[in-house]
Amino acid sequence: MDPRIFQTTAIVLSNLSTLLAVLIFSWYRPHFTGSKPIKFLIIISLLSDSLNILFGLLLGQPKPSIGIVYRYAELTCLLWFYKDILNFRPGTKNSIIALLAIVAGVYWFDSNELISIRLTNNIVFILFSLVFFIKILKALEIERIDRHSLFWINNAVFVYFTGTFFLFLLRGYLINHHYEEYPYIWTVNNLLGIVKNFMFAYAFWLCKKG
Amino acid sequence: MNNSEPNFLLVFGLGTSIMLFMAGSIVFFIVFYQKRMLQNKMEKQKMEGEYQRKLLQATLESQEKERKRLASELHDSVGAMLSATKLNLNFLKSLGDDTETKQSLDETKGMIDETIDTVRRISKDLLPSSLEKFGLVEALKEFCDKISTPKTEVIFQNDDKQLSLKKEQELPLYRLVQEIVNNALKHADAKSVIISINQDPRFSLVITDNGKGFDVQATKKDINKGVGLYNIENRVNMLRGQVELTSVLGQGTTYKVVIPADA
Repeated sequence: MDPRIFQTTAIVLSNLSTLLAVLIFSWYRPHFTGSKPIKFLIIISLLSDSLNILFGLLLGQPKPSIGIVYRYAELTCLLWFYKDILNFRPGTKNSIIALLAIVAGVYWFDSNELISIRLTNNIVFILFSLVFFIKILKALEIERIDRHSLFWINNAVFVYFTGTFFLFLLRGYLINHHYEEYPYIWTVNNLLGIVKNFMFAYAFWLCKKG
Repeated sequence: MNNSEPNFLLVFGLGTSIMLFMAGSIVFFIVFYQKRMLQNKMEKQKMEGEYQRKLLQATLESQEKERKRLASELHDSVGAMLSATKLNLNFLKSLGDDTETKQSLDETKGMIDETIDTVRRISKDLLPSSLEKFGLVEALKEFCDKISTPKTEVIFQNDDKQLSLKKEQELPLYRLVQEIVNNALKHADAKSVIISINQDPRFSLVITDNGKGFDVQATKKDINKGVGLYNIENRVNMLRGQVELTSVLGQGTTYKVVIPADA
C-alpha cells in the first residue's frame, strides 16, 4: 500500500474515533470536574484531524504546522484539566507556566527533537496522570473506580502518552534512518489516538449512566 | 544502515511495548489495589460502627438500669414511707378533738396524697410497668392517654397484628416514641400527633405531627439543635433499623422507623 494512503487511512480512522467522542459528548452533555477542557480538546482534535485529511487530499500530505498547533492546544487543555482535578497550588501553577514558556521558546528557536513540545507533553502528562492515580489511592473515596469518568479520562491520557513516548523521543532518528517505514511507524500514534478517544467516549457515557 | 549505529526501529518497538505493558500493569494495579484498600477501609468503618453501636447500647442499658433502680426505690421505699406516714396521720386525726389540729392534719394528709401521686408518676415515667407487663402496644396506648390534653391530642393506631419485636427491643422503641412525641409537643407546637405501628412483614413505626416543621438538613448541621435528631438516629441504629424523616415548614413532620425482622 502507498504509505501516503496508509497514513491518510489511519488519520481518517483516528478522526472517526474523535468524532465518536464528540458525538457522545454532545449527546450526553456530561458535567464533571474537568469536562470543559476535555470537550475543547476533542473538538480541537477533530478540527486538526479534519484539516490534516483535507491537506492530505489536496496537497498529497498533511501540514506539520497543524500538528504543532494541536500539540500546544493539547498542552493547554490537559494542563487546564489537571489543574481542575488535582487542585494545583499557586506555586505549581507558576512553575507550569514557566515550563510552558521555556518549551515554547526552545521549540521556536531550536528544532532539537529531544526537547520538542510533543515530548514535553509526554513527560508532563505521564507525571500528572500518575499523580492522579496516587491521589485516588490516597483518598479512597470512589467505590467503583472502573465506573468513574475521571479515571477513564486519566487512563486515556496515561496510555496515549506512555505509548507514544518512544515514538516522539526517536521521531527524528526514525525519520532519518527509516524514512520508508516511517508512515507505518506513525500509525502507532493514530492507533493510540483511537484508544484514547474510545476511552474518552466511554468516560462520557459513564458519566451519563452514573 | 551503519552497523555501529543502534537499531532505532528495534529500540522504538521494544520501548513502546515495554511502556504500554507498564501502563497497562499500573492501571490494573490501581484498579485492584484501590478495590482492596476500599474493602479494608469499609470493613474498618463497619467494625467502628459496630463498636459505637455496642457502646451506645451499653450506655442506654446502664441508663435504663439506673432508671429501674430509681423507680423501684421511689415506689418501694419513698412510696411505702409516705403511705405509712399517711396511716399515722389518720391515727393522729382519730385521737385529736381540736378542730384546728384536725384541719391541719387534713391539709398535711392532702399534701402527702399529692406527694404519693407525684412519686408514682415519676416512678412510672422512669419505668413504665405496663411495658413489662403487657408489652409495647399497651404501654404506648397508656402513654398516649397520659400525654393527651384537651389542647393536644396524641392518637395511637395499630394493625392488631402480632409484633415480631424481641423483648429487649421494646424499651428502646418506647423511649424513641417518647423522645419524638416530646419533641413534637415541645418544639413543634403540634396540636395533633399520630403514632401508628404496623407489622407488614417488617415492624414499622410512623409518627406524624401537624406542628410547624423544620429544615432537616439545617437542623442536622446545627450543633445545638441537631442533638435530638442525632439521638433518634442513634437509637434506631442501635436497633439495626432505618429512620426516614420528612418535614415541611408549616405543615408538620413525619418519622418512619423500620426495624428488620432479624435485627
